[in-house]
Amino acid sequence: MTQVLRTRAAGAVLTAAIVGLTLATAYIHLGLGGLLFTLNGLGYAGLAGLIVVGAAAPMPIIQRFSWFPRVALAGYTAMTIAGYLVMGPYFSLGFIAKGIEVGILTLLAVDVVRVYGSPMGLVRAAVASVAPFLPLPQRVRALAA
Amino acid sequence: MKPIRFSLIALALVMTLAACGSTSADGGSTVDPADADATVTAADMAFAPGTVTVASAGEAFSVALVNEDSMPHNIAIYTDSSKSEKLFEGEMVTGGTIVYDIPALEAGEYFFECSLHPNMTGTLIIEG
Repeated sequence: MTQVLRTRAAGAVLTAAIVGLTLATAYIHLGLGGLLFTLNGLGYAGLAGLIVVGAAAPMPIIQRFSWFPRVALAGYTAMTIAGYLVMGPYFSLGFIAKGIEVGILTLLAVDVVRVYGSPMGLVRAAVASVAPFLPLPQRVRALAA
Repeated sequence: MKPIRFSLIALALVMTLAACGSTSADGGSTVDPADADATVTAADMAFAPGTVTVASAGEAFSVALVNEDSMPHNIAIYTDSSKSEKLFEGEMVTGGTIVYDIPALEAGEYFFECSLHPNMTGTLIIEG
């Protein structure tokens, strides 16, 4: 299963699915009107763009920080779901949007396992990418390496 | 086996989308919009009129919501603008009209808003 996930085709399908779901929830939020929903929709659209750039751009500097769009989208999606659970309103389109967002989180989790092996692998990659710019203790640098 | 599974998933998806696109009969009313006790229009992210008066204290009444915006709106009624007590929350409607059957309220002033857009507010006056 992991071998299948590691293929280039699986990566492309997974990325396309994540981007598709992200654009779907962006579209729903942009259609709701009001400042909060519009900003939320624009945020999703921007993060979908970052995911595409992170997956498609061949530059080493972008590859090095490819963990960032995944973490940003996961955090943003989790915050949106939490905000909805607190504030509502609870109606059919809202529940569909939350279902899509749970799908985004699930696919991101699969993507993290595919690319980094585990959540800890992502943390290591993130620390390694920023370590040269930060005054981190040697022990942390060793962990990242 | 796989085509059957795919068909079932596709059917479930289509049914879900169909359910989203239609207004449920459960939340609607049999009252004709023209016969509703009051009519509120949602246009350009605002309710008009801002103050709605209904002469039906202690009796159930109906309010028609005409949504002229492209986004969903509804009417939720509270005791006052602090929104500490919700008395009624209507189903969302997108680009159409819905009539709400609202349970009896005592005479007085009430606050209403769109649940999705809290800046859309109004006052409901129930007269005896």
